[in-house]
Amino acid sequence: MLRFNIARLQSQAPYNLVFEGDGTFTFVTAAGRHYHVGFIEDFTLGRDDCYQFFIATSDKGVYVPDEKIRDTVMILIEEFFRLNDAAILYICDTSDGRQAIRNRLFRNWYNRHSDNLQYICKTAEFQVEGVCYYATILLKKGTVSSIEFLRLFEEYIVDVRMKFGMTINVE
Amino acid sequence: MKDNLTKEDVKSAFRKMVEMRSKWEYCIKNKISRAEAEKIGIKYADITLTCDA
Repeated sequence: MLRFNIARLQSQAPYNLVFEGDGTFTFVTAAGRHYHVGFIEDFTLGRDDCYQFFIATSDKGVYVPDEKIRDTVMILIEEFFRLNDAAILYICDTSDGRQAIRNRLFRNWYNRHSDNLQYICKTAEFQVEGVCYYATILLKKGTVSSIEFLRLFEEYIVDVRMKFGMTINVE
Repeated sequence: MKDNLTKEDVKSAFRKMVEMRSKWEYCIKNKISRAEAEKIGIKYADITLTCDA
């Protein structure tokens, strides 16, 4: 069970975050684009306190840089870690071949976030059957679960790298 | 995590992660209920909104 303080989200996020139920928040940008930000349970690392995190827009068109989108998403992530001792996995969408761009954008959002020193952000780049996948784990520093999650994530990478000789870059 | 991880396990895990994303997007955009989403492998996070400081 995840907890979020909706009053805090709404007072701090530049765009109005609305809880839609089903693990999802939405917001609308100044340009009128609708974004969905959601969490689903993920058992890839064998634990039940890990959530995969998604961002999607229901509008067509190219992403227009907007710092308020970054800030709104980062406030949601900050609130996730403020009230929950859990991990976030972020896997970039590969359906249109733009996963490297998404990965760079997310890393850029993270790096420019003022509170990023509170978190651990590790991204592994896996090449599987000619497709490049980016898997990022986000953790809050100093928690018991973060040490265990980091160990599991790094073990997984070492295991895959040693057994299959896959090229895995970790940032 | 499985001790005897095979190459197929790894490939399958990545395929599944990508599938989960597209399934989630489908569910959210089509307002698929929690019960129906679970049938296709998507378990929405249980979220409680609080007023805690």
